[in-house]
Amino acid sequence: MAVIEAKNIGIMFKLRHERRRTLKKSVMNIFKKKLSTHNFWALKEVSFRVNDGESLGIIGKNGSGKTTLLRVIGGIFKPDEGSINVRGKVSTLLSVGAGFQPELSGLENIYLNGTILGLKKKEIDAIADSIIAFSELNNFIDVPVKTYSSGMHARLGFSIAVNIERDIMLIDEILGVGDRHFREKCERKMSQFRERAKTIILVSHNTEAIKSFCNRAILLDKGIMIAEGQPEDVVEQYLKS
Amino acid sequence: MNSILHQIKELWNYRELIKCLVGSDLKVTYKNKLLGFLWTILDPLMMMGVYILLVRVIFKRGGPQFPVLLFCALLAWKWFTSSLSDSVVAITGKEKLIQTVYFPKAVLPISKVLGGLAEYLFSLIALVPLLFIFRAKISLMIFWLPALLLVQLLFTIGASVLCACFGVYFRDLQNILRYSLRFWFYLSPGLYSVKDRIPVRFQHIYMLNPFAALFTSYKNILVRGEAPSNYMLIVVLIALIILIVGFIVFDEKEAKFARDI
Repeated sequence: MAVIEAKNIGIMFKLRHERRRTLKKSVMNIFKKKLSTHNFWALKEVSFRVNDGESLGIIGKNGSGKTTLLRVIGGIFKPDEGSINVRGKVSTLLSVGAGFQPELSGLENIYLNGTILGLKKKEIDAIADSIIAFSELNNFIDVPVKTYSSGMHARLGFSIAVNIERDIMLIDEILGVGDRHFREKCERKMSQFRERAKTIILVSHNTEAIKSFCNRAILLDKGIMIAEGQPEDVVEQYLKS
Repeated sequence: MNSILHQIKELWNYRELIKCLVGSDLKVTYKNKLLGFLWTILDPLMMMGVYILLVRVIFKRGGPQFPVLLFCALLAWKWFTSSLSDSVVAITGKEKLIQTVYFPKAVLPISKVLGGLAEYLFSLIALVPLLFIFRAKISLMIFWLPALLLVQLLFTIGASVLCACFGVYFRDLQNILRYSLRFWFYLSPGLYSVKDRIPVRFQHIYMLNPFAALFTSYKNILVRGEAPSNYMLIVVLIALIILIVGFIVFDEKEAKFARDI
């Protein structure tokens, strides 16, 4: 059964030459009638299906639209063209820790992040201990997050994300988090997801990880899907380009 | 109308997030401050001090109950202005988060408004002694307070949702808002009362300002022992219109925030 069905997705950004829009400029532009934007298609006519329990790898160079595609699947961007149909609850591992409030402690941030991800307080109570254990932050869990090192920050974010299980797990370049020991732990956790037949979408530059972890892969180039198929074949094509 | 109902349903589903955001905002605000929550009370008291200096001492105006009447208006006004100015940056300040997780974005301005309400209720502690000191006529009219707060809540949510939305597109809105709010306060009967200062023939127009009726009503029920202003009926109508317009505009733009930020 297809859990994700994307048909001809297109995402367009209006690039402004002046980054910040202000009321003053808007008023002035009425008189100037000068259009200082141009359209940029981050994704164009991307179609694919992901079946229940599959792990799909997304590869491509920087700026090829990988993260944009992940955001479309996660419901953060609505496609300007085409349609996407996602069945089931989607997790997000896109740049983990984005919702952290630096003044609050690690534990308080677990609750804050958990509720942002749509959990009830009771549900977080049930998993808080395993999040803390997974993060290996020990006593630091009661200290404000602003005092954390970047590794600790990432560990806490990732621990929250992997302990909230969803039907579809989106994973963006996460294998670069933390030291080797923590990375191996994360990889084990991801293997567990696969064994439990979760659907996984993995974005990575690490071609070995794509080959060993995914059963299918797609290759993006400048927002266009140029290959789809067995991870080995797609990776080979990526490395050639 | 359907989209609004859907929005409200979704917000209700995310009510724990609103609660959590309000809680963490309040915690962050007071965590590193020496006087902590006392600031909530001190802030309007100091504002009152400034205006007493200006009106009473310098201009020799204001009646015997001037400080407590002013204080009633200041509390309500502080809630409104802090909600609006926090809401302007509520979406843009959470850029990373919005590009990471899907959630109904309206929770951001709404949690600011509710946080302001919590502070309002907390600062009532300072109002009670003032009511006694300045011999307010305390009556059963005080029980109108929840109704007035509800009307102000609806109006403030509508205005804040609009501010949050426009804040994404106009980065200088914050500056404009700061001065407009100041004008708005002086145009509202906070420092004076309507019947003393506004000629009768202009009163109908003057009272269309929601805060003209709100300030008058707060003062009436808390200090004067009188009923709320009749113009509150119009304010209810205005509040509902702003609320509905706010949600319609927000709904229109919400899906684009992640990209337009």
